[in-house]
Amino acid sequence: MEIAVLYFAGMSEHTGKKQEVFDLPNPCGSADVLERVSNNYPHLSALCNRSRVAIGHAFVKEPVEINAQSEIAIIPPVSGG
Amino acid sequence: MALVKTPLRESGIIDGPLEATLLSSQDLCRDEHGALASFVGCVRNEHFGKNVTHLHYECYKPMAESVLQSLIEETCEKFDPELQARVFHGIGTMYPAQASVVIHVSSGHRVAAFDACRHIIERIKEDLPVWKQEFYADGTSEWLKGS
Repeated sequence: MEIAVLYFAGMSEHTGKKQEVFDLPNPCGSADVLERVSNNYPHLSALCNRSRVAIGHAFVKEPVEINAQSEIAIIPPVSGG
Repeated sequence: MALVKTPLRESGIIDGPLEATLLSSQDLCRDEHGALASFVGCVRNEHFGKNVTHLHYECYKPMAESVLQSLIEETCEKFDPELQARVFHGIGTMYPAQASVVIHVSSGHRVAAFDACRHIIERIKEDLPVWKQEFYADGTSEWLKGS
């Protein structure tokens, strides 16, 4: 199943992308998304380990199944305020 | 039938520094509110000894808008169900002394107002999908990793 993943801040800067499409097994969960990103960008594995996944504009806790229509985002440590 | 007044709870993500950081008590307080607490977060020109020239704030806007409103609701449940609030975060480029976040909370009493105001800014720093990139006088820049 193809899913689109949104990147922000350092994740976007270091991948050079705002969004990327991955082919993941169906079903899959948020941890699978982070693992795939980490495998594709080994230099970002530490950042992936500290990042969270949001689906449909909300943080997710495992186990959450993802479908191709979900809006999925990698949320690196936030620094607002 | 008694008129039920819905509490005023506004939030949003705004382009650029926040200009209107002050608020008249009458703009937020209900008649039964005895306290208005405000917090304004500003750009600081220094970070761990480095001279900060400016910041760039990026956000995941639809999620940030949703999270901000959820944080207000969470705060009301925790401190005062009748609390009223206005919470705004700016994004884009900002310079020292400009305001990046503004929180106004009105409540019946000062303790709830202060506690709620503090709670909102701390939760913003935990969960609001906004990221700060600092630019330094030596020409380097860095995405901050939490704050």
